[in-house]
Amino acid sequence: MSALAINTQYVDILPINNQSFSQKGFEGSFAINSALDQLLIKENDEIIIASPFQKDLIFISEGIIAKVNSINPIPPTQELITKRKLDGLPPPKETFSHNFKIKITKELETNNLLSDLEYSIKSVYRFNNPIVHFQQQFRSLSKQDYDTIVHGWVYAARTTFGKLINAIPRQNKLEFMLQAMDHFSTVDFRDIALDEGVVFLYNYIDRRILSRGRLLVATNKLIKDHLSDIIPSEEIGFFNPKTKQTNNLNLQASAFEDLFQLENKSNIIKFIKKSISEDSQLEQRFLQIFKNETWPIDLSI
Amino acid sequence: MKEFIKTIKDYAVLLNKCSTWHNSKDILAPIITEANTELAADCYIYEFYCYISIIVDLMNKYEIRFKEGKGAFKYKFPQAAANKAGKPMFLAQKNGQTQFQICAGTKINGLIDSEENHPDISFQLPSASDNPTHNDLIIIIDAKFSEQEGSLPKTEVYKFGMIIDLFELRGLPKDKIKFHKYEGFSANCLITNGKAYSDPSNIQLLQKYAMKEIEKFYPSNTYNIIG
Repeated sequence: MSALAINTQYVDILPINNQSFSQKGFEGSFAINSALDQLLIKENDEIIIASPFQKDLIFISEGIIAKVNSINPIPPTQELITKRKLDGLPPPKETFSHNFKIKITKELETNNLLSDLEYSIKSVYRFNNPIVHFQQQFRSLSKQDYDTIVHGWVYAARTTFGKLINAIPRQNKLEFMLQAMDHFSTVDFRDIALDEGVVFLYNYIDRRILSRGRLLVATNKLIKDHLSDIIPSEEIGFFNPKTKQTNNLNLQASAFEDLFQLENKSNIIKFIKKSISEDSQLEQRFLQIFKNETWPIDLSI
Repeated sequence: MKEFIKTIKDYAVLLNKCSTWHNSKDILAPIITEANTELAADCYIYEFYCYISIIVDLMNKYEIRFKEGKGAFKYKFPQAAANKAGKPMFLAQKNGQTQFQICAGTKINGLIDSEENHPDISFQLPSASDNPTHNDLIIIIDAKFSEQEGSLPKTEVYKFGMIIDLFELRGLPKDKIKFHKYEGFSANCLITNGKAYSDPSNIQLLQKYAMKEIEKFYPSNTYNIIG
């Protein structure tokens, strides 16, 4: 293993000096409990300290394994031995406490949330809940993923595509995929450049969803401006006799107003294209890393 | 890059909120398959936009009153065609006297028993009951949404002509509806955000069926009336 991420939710990091593990120069120790007597963690391996943060995960600092301190066998407790016996199971085996000394070399500050980097880290693929990839004492990282995290490098095209596609309902995702298969004459999208995918996706969203949003905003404005004396404008909406659902026009229109405001402010598609082309070297790096990967569409969301 | 991340995250959160109805699980843009191609054109959101646009225009010429619906329909319009009873509607009045009713998606019984239809917008005589027939109609309007902003298909125009015929609306309207800005809408109209089917230089078909086509009717657009 040359690089790993340690999750402070499962591992206590104890200071040797009086610093915090978010600070450069911090020295401390931690222990991993494992059924294995050997872990592949070596001196000078690179580490990233991560912690849960709201519903996200924050990458706090980077450093190195300064020393592999000791590996201590832990005999099973009497309670566990008795329980296994009662359950008719074979006796429990001893476990091992692996103790390490670490040194923090840098505090991470840029794009250091998992939600910033989920589409840029190759080992992340469960976009409905990417934190699961880090919900353990430690996980190994490829050198590429390690570099991505410590530099806060963002794969702009994949991030745009992923954030947008996974924001729309599953039915629309499936419909988009069928249309994209037809348009690009492909079944798995591997060979289709993501920036082409982004443009096709934005057109889909504009045609299917935003076109209706513009109508809702305009209708709501007409009602508010002209009819509020004769009808309670905030109550107006639709009732779907099939699903028995009540759909409020004003609430939906307000959400679209916020969306269009953001679009107007940044001219979203130009802004995205600019961000993608801004650092073409970085995009090239990511193109290589994700070469054989298909588009990041998660149908479980 | 920091600004990019923030913008794209904020945008995704809003898009997620917008693409499903705020207080239900109905998705905003139902998927269109070969089995339900009509769904594409019959967009209740567009129909309602046309309906409200017309109501607001009529306010310049009439006193507009709102008639509440019943139960869940008190202030909510049916998302699909429905019976008239218990649904909200607007009334156009002059000096407190109703001149006509403006209904959305109401079922109308036609000349032939089996051939009921649900025009998206119907102008009905003040005396029209909760079970209106073609005899209660003044004019009808259908709204057709085209995501591709394409031309109205021939089938839609022919179908609308047939409905007009079944409702015996090819003659002079029973009343003259006075529009303001939408002067020219006072006929049976097929409204679309896309383009009309008919060439403005040849409106014989539209004349034959006493109908007009209104094209490019969409927020911030300039529409054209053909016919």
